Amino acid sequence: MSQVQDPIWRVVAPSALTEREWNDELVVYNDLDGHTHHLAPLGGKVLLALLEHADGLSGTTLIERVGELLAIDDAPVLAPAVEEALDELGKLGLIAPVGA
Amino acid sequence: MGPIVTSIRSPMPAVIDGIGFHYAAHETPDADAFADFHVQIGWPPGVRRFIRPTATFRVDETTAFEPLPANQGFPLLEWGMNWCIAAHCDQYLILHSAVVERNGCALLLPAPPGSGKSTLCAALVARGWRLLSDELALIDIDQLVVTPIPRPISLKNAAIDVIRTFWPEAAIGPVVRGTLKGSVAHVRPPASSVERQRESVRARWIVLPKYAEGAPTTLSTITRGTALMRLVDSAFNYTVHGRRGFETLAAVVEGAACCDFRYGGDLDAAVKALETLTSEG
Repeated sequence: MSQVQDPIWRVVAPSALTEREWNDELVVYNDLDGHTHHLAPLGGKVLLALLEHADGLSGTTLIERVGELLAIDDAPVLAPAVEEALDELGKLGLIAPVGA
Repeated sequence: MGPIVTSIRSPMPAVIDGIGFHYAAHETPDADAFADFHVQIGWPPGVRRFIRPTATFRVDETTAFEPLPANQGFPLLEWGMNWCIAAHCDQYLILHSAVVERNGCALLLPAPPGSGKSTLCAALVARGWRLLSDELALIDIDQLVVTPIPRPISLKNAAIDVIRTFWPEAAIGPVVRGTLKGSVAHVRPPASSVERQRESVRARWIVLPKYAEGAPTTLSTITRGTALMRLVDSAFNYTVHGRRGFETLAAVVEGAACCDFRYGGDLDAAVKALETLTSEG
């Protein structure tokens, strides 16, 4: 995957986020806009994975890491779901591709 | 009432009688004591009182709402005081929620209008639960406890007769008809709840009530995330508190069992279900 096709994703403002993880759900508060989000399990894992890496992760690496968090060793199956989660988190203003 | 001192002035007999009836058990501080709010329920100025008698609500010398028909003076006082607290008492995180206590722990009943929250609250109080509030949960952000503010329980429309039947001993004030919410009547808070108004308690149960006519009583566990989002939606001043507001509600949710609760006309079954819930563990 080239850089253009596989952008690096990062959390927009890690220090602005406060989160609570309960079983498979993640609730996150964003101090930048005052919004609170209740994330679906996969979206929560994607965000947690990105929070582990301040410099961001490529989509490919992210899929691997999320696979580890969910104990799913099937990247082709996981990839479209992670892409969807990235899109959703981006719309919420929580993450953005580096350079965007 | 509770931690709030309100100075109330009114020349209107219905308001004076309403205060005398509903707040008989509350302390009356000296007239020159500090008051958080200075409220006046009065007639309109000039001859308008005689042409179209209305009740006006003023707080700290400012008119807060449009006048209402004079017969709605006492409900206007109650609604106005709710607004005063919800809009100004930011030392608390304030939820639109009934709160009752059993066995030393609080049950929160956060719900939007029309969910049957007050009816359920009155039914629980009728069966001996302590009333902390029918309308506002005042969460102490430092201590993570709910501060009582026992005031009259507001019943609307069919709920008035439902509670008359369910709780014949209830001290219910006059029915005021034709309000924006329909017919309204208030239940006097039990003296035992007023006497204990300085006893704050932790929330141990969060129950999201929903009345549906004829529905069976069902209690189902919900996730903490779902419960937290409902608390966020029901909070008046969540955004004021920012990150701390989130942390406060998260802590409340972490310390509580969280459930959806649907009930129909069978208040006995509803109360029993909540007694069972609150007897566990």
